[in-house]
Amino acid sequence: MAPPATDAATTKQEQQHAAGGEGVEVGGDLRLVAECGTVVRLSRSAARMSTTLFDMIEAGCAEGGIPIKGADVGTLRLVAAYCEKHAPHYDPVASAARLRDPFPPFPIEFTPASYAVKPVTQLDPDPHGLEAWDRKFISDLPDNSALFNLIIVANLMAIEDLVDLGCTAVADKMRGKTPDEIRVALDIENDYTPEQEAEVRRENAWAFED
Amino acid sequence: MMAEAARAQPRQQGGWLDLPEDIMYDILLRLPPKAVVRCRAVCRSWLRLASDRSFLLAHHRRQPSLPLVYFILNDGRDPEVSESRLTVFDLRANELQTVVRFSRHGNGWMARDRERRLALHGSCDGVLLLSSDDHLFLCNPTTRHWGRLPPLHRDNTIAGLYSHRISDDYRVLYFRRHEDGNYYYYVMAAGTRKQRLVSRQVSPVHSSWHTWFARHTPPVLLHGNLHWPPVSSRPESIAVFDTVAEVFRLMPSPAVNVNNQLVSNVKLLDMEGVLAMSSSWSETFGDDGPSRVDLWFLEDYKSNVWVCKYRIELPVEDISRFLGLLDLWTAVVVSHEGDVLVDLMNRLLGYDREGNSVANLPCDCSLLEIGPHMLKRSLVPHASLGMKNHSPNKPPFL
Repeated sequence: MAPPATDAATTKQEQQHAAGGEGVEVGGDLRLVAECGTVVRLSRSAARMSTTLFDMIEAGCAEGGIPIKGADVGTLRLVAAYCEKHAPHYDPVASAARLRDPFPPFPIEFTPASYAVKPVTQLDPDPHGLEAWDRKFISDLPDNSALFNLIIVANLMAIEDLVDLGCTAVADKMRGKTPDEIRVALDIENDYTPEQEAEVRRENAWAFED
Repeated sequence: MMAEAARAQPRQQGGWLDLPEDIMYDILLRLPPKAVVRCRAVCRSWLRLASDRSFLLAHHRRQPSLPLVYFILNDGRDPEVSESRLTVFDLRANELQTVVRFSRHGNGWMARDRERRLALHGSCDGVLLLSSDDHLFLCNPTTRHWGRLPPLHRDNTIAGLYSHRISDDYRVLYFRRHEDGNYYYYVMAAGTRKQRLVSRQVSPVHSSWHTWFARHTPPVLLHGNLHWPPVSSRPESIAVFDTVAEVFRLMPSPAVNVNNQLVSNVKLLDMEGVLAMSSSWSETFGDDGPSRVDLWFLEDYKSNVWVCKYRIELPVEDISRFLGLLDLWTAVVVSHEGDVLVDLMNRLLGYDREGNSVANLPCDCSLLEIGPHMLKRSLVPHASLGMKNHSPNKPPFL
């Protein structure tokens, strides 16, 4: 029918015009704009991992540049790299269930044992290599600032899996350390007086023993 | 989120101060209990976050329920001194963490030695009910807070420790047989320390071998009710005690085979809010232990729909490798994922629900007993556990 076709064509032209005539197609990559104005591209499938972007795509307002307030180019590129890597294996239902409930529900169907004596082997816990990639992704970060910025931007964009990864990385840096070591590791100012700090330590002496 | 980040006055760009508070909350939630407490000493805002009651409750909910394992270690140097140790076994990490430690003289099996021994009577919300030398204690082994309860007459047997929803207090259900041959059940509330008669029964509702059995099959508290697994004399029912109405009733059990031995093959568990039953059995007569563990879930509590979710085959040949000549093994599911803990004389083995080995821990001890209790660590303070670690007269196991 003529009218919708015309509308579609007009819309596409309008969008191309709005995008500065750079020939961005409907259905192509998203264009995220960092604080400094640089554009970082993100494929649609990767953008699904961000609830914010996903909602925008669904609502049809993800065309043109999408400013990400407070995000520097470096962090945005890291976020994009994470999403592009994880997108092919992303399962939003499993992700939401895992994060909301640390003990996700078991599957409804059980597969009965097919043979009596099972081989005593370890299953491959990381079939797609994503966990190994994540570990390297985090360890490649230059400093704590980069890690905090990553969490902040992932939080802004509502990328739950990346927020989860970042928080776990910070928690890992804190595990097993004394309060002094934590302050040094995360560059935190000690706003206690010596008496106040002693009081906190005394209240919970068992935790400061070793 | 964005507004909070904008309001914060960062000492430096990209510092932790820019992290919104709910992110900091999320990070602290992931830390083990000891690390959370250490964070309180880092700075004032962390003290506030890590002491907040709702944070501590959320943190407790995230902790895994780990099986408690009871050891008696013999220090070879002095045969008269032995150390009792209660530990939790983290299967996936293949490690034992000591929960409570207790040294005593005399390791005989006489009645008076048994009483002096450390005994665990219940575990609820991260709090343990322990007795030593006829003294009764409530103890949170994670925070080292404790409280003393009035001692119970030694003819009494403790049936369970539970938290009473409405009064938010810990209560102990116990019973004894009177001269008239009936079994009288009492409840003692930790806060008021009052002991009240709640029920009179012709036979012990929840067990057949009463004293021994009661200690080895603690109830599971769910929806304000205590549940005990079926017994061989009544395999078709689960005994239930309503902690609010304070009455007993029976509910139908799934069709499982209940053995008639001292250590039952059937155990009830709380799988993240769903009542579950672990039932082990041997497919082959003459095996030294179970070859299969079934895991049932009570899908619908109100209409009593039980479903057998997992049938876990144990690698019998593999387990047999560790057996001595007359040894036996027992197996029980300990996690919602279907992890199975296999208890041999001197070794703990863990298998996931596919039958793959996940844990193998030899134990150098003279007695190893997989306790029937589980511990889910908690940092939540409680009025009945007001005594701190440095209080006088603290129990010998802290």
